[in-house]
Amino acid sequence: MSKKIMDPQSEGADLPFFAHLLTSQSDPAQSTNGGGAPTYHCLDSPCTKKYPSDDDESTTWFKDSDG
Amino acid sequence: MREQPCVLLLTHSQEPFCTERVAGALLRAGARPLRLDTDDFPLALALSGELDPAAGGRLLLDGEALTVDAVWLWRLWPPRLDAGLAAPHREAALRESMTALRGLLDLLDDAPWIDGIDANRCAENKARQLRLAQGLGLAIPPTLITADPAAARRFWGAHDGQVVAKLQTSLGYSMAGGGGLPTRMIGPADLEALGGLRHCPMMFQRYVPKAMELRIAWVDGRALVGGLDGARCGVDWRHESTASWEAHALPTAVHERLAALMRQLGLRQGAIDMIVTPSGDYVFLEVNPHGEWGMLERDLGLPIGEAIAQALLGLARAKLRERSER
Repeated sequence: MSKKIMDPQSEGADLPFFAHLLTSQSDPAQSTNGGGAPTYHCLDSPCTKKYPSDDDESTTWFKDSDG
Repeated sequence: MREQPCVLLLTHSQEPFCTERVAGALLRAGARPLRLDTDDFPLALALSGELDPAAGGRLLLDGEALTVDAVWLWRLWPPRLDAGLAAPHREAALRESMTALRGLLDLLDDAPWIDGIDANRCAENKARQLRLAQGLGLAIPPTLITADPAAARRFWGAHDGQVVAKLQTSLGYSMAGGGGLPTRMIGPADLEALGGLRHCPMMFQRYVPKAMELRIAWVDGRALVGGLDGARCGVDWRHESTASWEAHALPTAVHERLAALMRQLGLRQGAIDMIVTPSGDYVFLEVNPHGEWGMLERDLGLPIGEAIAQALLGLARAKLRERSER
């Protein structure tokens, strides 16, 4: 029999916690004093952004296809 | 016997730098790099697989059997489907295209890979990375992965509120950036929202004070290391840093432990993130099997593409010899 998570202090939360963090804190890269992350940009002109390809996990898109 | 090794480079059409670095190094060494932009399949890439009851399987490119001596897996991207495809068909086409591509690439199982698809999937398990690292004597931050708000609240209290939260996967894929969640410090006001963990678990770690942030491009036992001044980095240097990359050398003991970790993970390449604390301790955070290293080569001149090419060449030449002896 599974045990359920009971947390009366936090019942009713509609947002996933990560979504709360996204909305409750400003993006440090967008702040005026954060300075972004210029050393981490991709290297071509259409790719001058803050968060390049670390998130391009090579197999992320190989989800199970039969599930 | 064919003398020029052929190395297949799996990447995508927007990849701006790393692939060409590896390809250039392969060319200079006399090998033939073959770039395959995986997002071109199936719209613009004529890949087929034949499975013959007698002869077995083979991969065809433009109708010709493709024989490669090594494979570099850098990126596998989903297809750029025709814009006119209706939404209900698009999802099926996307899923089927990626499944078909996985099957086609499996027909290259006779070639050595850096690194294989299954090895990557296994190695991307962050809890496994931390477990293995700790077992090998590497320092790791106290870590909690949970969907239990009470557990997260206790962890936060036990570490005096010096706790960060992170996701183990990206929120989306793209070169456009901006879709990620930076590692965040958890403040008292955030505790009231912990109930949201029931929708999605997160990883919590004690914040590690930093003298330096390291990104280590690991290639077949070699560590090519860039460091950022920790005082000029925010909680997540990828999103907040005014520091410039500087070269760094790992202590031998740390290098040896990382080598053992990468062996256990089954990886020849990866981008390892570590923190050097003000007291000089090296704390392991994670390995991204395909973490970005282009900025280290660009800014510091670290020969990462060359190192990858040499590793591929070593495997390719051995495979060529093996085939000639059959």
